[in-house]
Parts: sequence; structure tokens; C-alpha cells
Amino acid sequence: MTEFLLLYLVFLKATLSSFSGMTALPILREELVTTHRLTDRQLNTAIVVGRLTPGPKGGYIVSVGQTIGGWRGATAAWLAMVTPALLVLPLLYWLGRHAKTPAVKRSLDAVMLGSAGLSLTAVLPLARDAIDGPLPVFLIAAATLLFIRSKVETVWLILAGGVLMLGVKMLN
Amino acid sequence: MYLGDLARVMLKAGTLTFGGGNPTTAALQREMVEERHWLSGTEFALAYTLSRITPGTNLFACCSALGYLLRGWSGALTCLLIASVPSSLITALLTLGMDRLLAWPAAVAMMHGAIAVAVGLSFGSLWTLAAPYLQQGAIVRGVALIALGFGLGYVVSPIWVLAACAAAGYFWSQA
Repeated sequence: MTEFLLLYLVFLKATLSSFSGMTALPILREELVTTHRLTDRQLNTAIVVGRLTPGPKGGYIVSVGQTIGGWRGATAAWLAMVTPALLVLPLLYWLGRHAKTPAVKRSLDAVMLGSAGLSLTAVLPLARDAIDGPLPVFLIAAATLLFIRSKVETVWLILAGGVLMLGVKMLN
Repeated sequence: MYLGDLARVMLKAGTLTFGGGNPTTAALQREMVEERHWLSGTEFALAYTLSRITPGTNLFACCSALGYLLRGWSGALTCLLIASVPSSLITALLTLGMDRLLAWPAAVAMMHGAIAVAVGLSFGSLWTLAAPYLQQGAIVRGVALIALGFGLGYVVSPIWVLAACAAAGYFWSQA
């Protein structure tokens, strides 16, 4: 139980001090790699797993937890990942009530637009990784247009992208 | 709207979208705003915006906020659990079988295609979220704020980027 709690606190420290997927990485590295509980290679593998699975990119900490502590470690990491999420509710309660106040609305609108720009910094590296030829470029462009212009469900688009890429690889 | 419907939408978005939080947000926006009309675009944008200034994983904060707007505390907890447990379980299982999966070229190829589509969905989602703010006679201000978020995003922590945007939005209008 003590081990579980210690792991939870390490992961919580990392998640509480981050505001986007990968920004918890330096703390995890400092707490786990420099103390020889995890190797750099294991940390990199965990990041790859996080990229291959559904959900947020920050989900790689569950893989880190699984690697160092088995199912208990994974549970501690999951718990640390979801705990800060509830902090949004007091914000929603207070700011939601004042969202129509001009000053609050102006600031929230600005944060919304700034967030869009900030998100681009996370999406562009993913795009660079994905693009290794004309097909991924086509898939990115088609998915962007179809999302904006059509009502096709995103699940079907993702499945179609996977099948198309597999078909082209098999033909080659 | 029943809690079960909310859970189903969250389960589908949380387990069938790859490429990080943005594509999942895009899927939720499509289902909750455009198809089912559970929330207005403004309400969805409020949940998204507040999730960005919440520490931790933004996607889970966004899911909690969406659940709270729709069904109060029970909605928030349901959305948080449904969005996080299945994807975390998949992550933990994949950690155990990672070596075997990477040796299977078909799976790697499909994942590659899925991630490319996820990138496109992210671009589409960002456009859908930002577009209403760019059509209110404030295009220069909107583009400048997006550029500010994008430019600062490479040099300082996200929370400082968002604080700068909030201050810029406030003072720009005051000027």
C-alpha cells in the first residue's frame, strides 16, 4: 500500500505540474530514471505505447506505471492522471456563472483562440511524424476537409485511413 | 438525454480515436454539438477552454466539464471514468505486448494511416472551434491571438501562454 501511495504521489506531482500531454516528462524522468527505477529506453517505449493507443498522449504514464509496478503501478498512474481533471469543475462553476460578464468573456474567448494556436504546436510534430509520402498528406487533407464539410463519423474516417494505408502497403 | 447515452458517446470517442486529445475532442464536438445537439457550440467551447487552464490531462478535464454541463456530478464522474478507464486498460495491455505488436507490419501500417487521419481531424477540430470567433468582425484580433498561442507555445509553459492570451484579450478590447 505504501508503494502504491508513493507511486501515486510521484505521478500526481508530474500530472499536476503539467498543462499538456508531454510536459510531465521532465518530472517523471527526474523521479524515476535518475533514481534507476526506469531506464530511458523503457521511458521511450512507454511514450510510443501512448502514441499507439486511444486517448490522450499523456496516457503514456499508465504505460510507465505498468512497466515499473505492474497492474498496481498502472492503477496508481491512472488515478494520478484523472485526479486533477476534477479541478475543472470549480472553474466551470465559477467562470460558467460569470461567462457572460464582458471582461470574463473577452478573456475566455482569447484563451480559446490562444489554445487553438497552442494545440497547433502539439499537432504539427505529429503531422511531421505521420508524413512519409503522398498518402499520409492525402489522408490528412481529406480528413480535415471531411471533418469540416461533412457529417461522416470520425470513427469511420480513422478506420478508413488505417485500411487504406494497409491496402497501399500490401500493394507495394 | 440518459446517462447511458452519454456513456456510449464517451466510450466511442475515448476508445476509437487515436492521435491524442485533439481528435477525441473533435469526435465529442461532432457528436454532442452537431449531431445530437446536447450542447451549443459556446458551451462546448467553454468546457474546452476551461480544460486548457486546468492542470493535468486536458482531455479528461474537458470530458468531466462536458459531463457536468450535461448531467451534473454524475455526468462528470461517468464521463471521466468512461473516457479514462478503457483507454488506460488498452495502454497497460499494449505495454505488455508491445514487442509482439511492433513485429506485425499490418498493425503498424494501419496505425500509421489512423494517425494521419487523426492529424487531419485535429486540424478540422481546431478550425471548427476557432472559426466562430473569427467571423465576429474580429479577424485580426483572432488571428493575432492564435499566432500568440502558437508562437509562445514553443518557448514557455502552456499555462503562461494561456495567461498571456487571457491578458491580451482583456487589454486589447480595453484599448
